[in-house]
Amino acid sequence: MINLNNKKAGEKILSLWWFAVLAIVGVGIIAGTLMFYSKDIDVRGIEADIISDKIMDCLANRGNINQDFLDGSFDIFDKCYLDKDILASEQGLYYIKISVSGAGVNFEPKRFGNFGLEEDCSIQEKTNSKYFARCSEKNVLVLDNQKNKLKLSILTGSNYFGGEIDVYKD
Amino acid sequence: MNKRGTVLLEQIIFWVLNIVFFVLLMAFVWRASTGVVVIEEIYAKQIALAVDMMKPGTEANISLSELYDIAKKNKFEGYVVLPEPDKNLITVRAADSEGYSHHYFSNLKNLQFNLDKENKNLIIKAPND
Repeated sequence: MINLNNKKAGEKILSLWWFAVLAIVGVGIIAGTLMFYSKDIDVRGIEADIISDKIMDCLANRGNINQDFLDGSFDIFDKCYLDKDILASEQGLYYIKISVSGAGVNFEPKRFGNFGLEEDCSIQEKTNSKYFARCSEKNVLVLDNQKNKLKLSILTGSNYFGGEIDVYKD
Repeated sequence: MNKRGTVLLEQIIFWVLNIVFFVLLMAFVWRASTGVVVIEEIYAKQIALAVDMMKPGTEANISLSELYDIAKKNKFEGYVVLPEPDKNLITVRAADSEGYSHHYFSNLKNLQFNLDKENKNLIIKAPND
């Protein structure tokens, strides 16, 4: 039995406690470090931004919208240097929506990729949850060939964390 | 040894053990933060994003010095960056493992990836259409 009045025994008990404290601190820091560095580096927001920038660049030139796009004879993947196999797959990890609105314009929004990610974008905005796609929304005023003011809106989303995915090329 | 000497020796052992413990802990954290897995992921994503941002007629120059240093430390002499344009894939390896892969979504034609081993650089060229 340990005699607590004995000073030497008290010191031994204290050092045992100290080693227990060290073990707890050590395990905590090791677990925290492993958890932190095993997480993916999240570039989904940057990817969504790059896609919307590229589409905006090739659709709006010096404040004028590309008329071929309004006429429906404009392939955004080919003209904006975007890979259709990766971005437009319905089961994929990306989403693109392009809308044009304004007086006298009846333009059906063009949507590509995984349509489910559009809902993810609005949920992510409200909850800031890491499990929902990161999105980028850009709006600009442009002129058509009749000099009518139109609003061009581009919404893009990415839920690609990294790693190899199946890409089927034609 | 008298009582005072014993107490002093205990104090010294106590502090030496504490210092060794915290030094080992910091070494672990430092190794984890500069580890192969993290560096491979950082470079794969950085290169893929650089490709995504490129336009025809542009060139990107990415320094790979840190990646080469880690590959050298791990005695890895293979290709540290392996581009697969048919899959739009960049794979980065700094050790004898699978490495880390990341897809790029740009479809620029005839992308050229040149590894400059001497200057530890990756030069990516996107020719004009």
